[in-house]
Amino acid sequence: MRLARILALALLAALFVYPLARLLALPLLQGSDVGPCLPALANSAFFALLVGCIAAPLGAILAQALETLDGAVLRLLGLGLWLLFLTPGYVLTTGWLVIMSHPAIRDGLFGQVFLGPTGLVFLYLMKSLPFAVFVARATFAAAGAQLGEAALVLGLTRWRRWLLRLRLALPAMAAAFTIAAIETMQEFGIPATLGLTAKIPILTYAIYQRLNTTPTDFAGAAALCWWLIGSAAVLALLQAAVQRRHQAALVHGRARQAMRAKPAALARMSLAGVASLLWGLGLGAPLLALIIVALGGPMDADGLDAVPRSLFYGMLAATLALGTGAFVLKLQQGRSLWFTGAVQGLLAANMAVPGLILGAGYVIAFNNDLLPLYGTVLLLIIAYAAGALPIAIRLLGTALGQLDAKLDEAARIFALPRVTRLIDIEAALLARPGLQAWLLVVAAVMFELPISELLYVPGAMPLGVAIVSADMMASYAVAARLALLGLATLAGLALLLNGALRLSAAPRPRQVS
Amino acid sequence: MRKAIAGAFAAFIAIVAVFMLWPSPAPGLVLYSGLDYGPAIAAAFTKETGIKVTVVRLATGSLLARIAAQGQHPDWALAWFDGATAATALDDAGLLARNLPAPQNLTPTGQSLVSKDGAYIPTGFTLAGVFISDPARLQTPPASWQDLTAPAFRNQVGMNDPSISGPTYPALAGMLDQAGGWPQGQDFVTALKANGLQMFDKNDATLAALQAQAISLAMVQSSAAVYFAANHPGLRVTIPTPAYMLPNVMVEAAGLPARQRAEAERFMAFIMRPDIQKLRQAQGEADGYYWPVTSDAPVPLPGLPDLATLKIVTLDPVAWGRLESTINGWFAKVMSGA
Repeated sequence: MRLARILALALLAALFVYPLARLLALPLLQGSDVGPCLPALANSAFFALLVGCIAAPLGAILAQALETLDGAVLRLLGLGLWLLFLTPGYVLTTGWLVIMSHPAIRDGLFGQVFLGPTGLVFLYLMKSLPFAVFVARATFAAAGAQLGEAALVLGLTRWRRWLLRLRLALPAMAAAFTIAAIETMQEFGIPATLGLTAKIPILTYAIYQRLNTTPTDFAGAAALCWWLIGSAAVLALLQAAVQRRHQAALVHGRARQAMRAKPAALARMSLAGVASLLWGLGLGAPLLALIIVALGGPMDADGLDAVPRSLFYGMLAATLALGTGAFVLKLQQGRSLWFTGAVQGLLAANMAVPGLILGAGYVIAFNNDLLPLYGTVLLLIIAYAAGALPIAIRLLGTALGQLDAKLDEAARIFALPRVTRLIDIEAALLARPGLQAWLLVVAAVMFELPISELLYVPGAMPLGVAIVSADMMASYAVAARLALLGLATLAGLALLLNGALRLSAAPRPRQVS
Repeated sequence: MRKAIAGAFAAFIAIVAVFMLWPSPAPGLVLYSGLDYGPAIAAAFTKETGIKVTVVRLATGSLLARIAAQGQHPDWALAWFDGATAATALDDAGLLARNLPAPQNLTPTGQSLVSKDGAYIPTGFTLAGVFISDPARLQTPPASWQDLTAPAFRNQVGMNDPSISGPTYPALAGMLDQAGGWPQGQDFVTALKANGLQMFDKNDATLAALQAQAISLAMVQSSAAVYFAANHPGLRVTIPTPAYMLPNVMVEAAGLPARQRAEAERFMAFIMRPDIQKLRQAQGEADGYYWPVTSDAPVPLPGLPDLATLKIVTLDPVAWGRLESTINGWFAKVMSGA
């Protein structure tokens, strides 16, 4: 077991520590002039803070509404947030580019405003709002009914009760602010697709440009990566400070879930307004534009091979990530504190590093005599899997943690073979959460952009690269077809596998002899 | 049943893995092509000689970045793209083979484009930056580079990003050269920016902006402009005075095995044959609009102006190639308003 743990740690180190160390050491060894990129840092920081400031209170309000109120509008709002979360930012941006390709719209006031910082902030906000809401929901889900009841018993005014709720929401808002700001700071697809980076330099795109355009500057890119990591660290420290100052103990033995109420007329109207905005401007307008442009024009199979290619990449990377995740989690089940600590540390560090930096590390680390993997499908799939590993472990860990260890002990007592224990007991019990985690990783890899841009094999474009390339050539019909076909393929795969799972788990009639 | 499902799933994933990761059979010569006719010419070469050529089609900027990223571990054998300055930069980094055999029957212009150390061969040329405009929106086109700073062209002009579009750096170098060289020419580019110069990623994006009326005049490579005008009647191409020559060149990776090097040399001779140059014109889409540099080549495609009517300047690829990083960095700063 000890040897297996050492091997697992060595694997994680090879996947994360080695490439990142190779990349991040470059500016320390070679030096780099990043002065010209200061505007990119300033712009990215400004947008991150602005989006964080909007998303945090809005996310907290929506989270509270979703946890305490009931009704069709709330369900619509929740579904809209999930769809926004799952739709890649650059696909939504492509939809808006299609809308803006109409001269009357683009040259009008709306177009002029949208194709500038306002549009960038809007798209960033659409992508980071679901994160802010999901993070804040946890706080409100844990808040029992007693606080509100106590306030009513004490006869506090509505204004005072609102202030109390605001204070209760402060840690949640701090977390929502942090995650929204970090997501915005690390977002690559939206600025890369919207095409404003010439006018408004953005940090992630500046890193990409140093790696993938002429002349290449690895040390410069690595120096900018330090900035990106540093800004995430500062934001995380800020959140920690707020939570330390305003922490609230909400979960206790007597906690009682508050009854969900129907929203009052004004609240219902406000929530309906937000839901309409999310569904109309966030999802409806860009997706409808994609559908219209995809159906128009001559139908050809231009670049459609990117869809099955990325689907297969996603399947392999998801299997690799979940397989490695399950292996690591199994090793964690022992009582080895050093192993658990090391794994958690590595995974937390990797979660803070965006795909762009991981991809850049792989370019440098695996392009030598010892490991000449750069430019191969194998490296691309390993990088996808490494990027997805933290989330795979989080998703699997929750499900695995609910399996009682006595199940395995009982199976051993009955001398069931290892294969039976693994497949008929553990896999059967983990099938549903395992499938959802697998599908989530397949979807994330299929539409992944920064790692794909840096590591794809020439002549074999992944889906994200193909969509953004089509955008850059203003071939919106091709981009739209690729995006919609990719989404439809994923939906089909999810339906098929969930259906198969349901069928396999359905009770069978007992045969009577 | 569960074991059967698990087995089927494992078998499916294994098949996908084999399908995606199975090493492709020996790729033969790997050609990185930034030019549209690369795949057609490679197919013709394979058909005639039996030597396999695997073509990887890339935008020139990405092509150069890939070559630089691979460094001393190239997975390419030949690269074909626009821009002697870029080839010189790769040569300076020690990534190119030297002493390549110069093409036969070069014209005097062609001879002037041959690399001194044989790090690249010229295979034709276009012009680095010409003007294509919409007469309905811009009645009088500019005749020279200096005209672009006039108020009539305020917010009307767009060009490519030289860090993404490989052929655009020579155009930028040309602009600086006609305004006094580097760094004296900076004022001219700054004045262009002050006059509302817009930047797009590459030829297609800049021309799409022209078509969508986001700009009224696009500064792009001559081949892209002439091809676009041929397919969009009503647009007008103007060649500025002076115009800057942009050779399309072929380079070979350093350290190829002797057999591959011999095959690469056969390919280099093949692409300069008159019948193959005709194929380049026919299959090259925009890139087919080039001026040949050999005396036995077919005449250029209709739509290309007579060279005798133009004032064409050739930039020193060594001097300007070494400035590429500095100038592109400076230009990015100017365009971002930093």
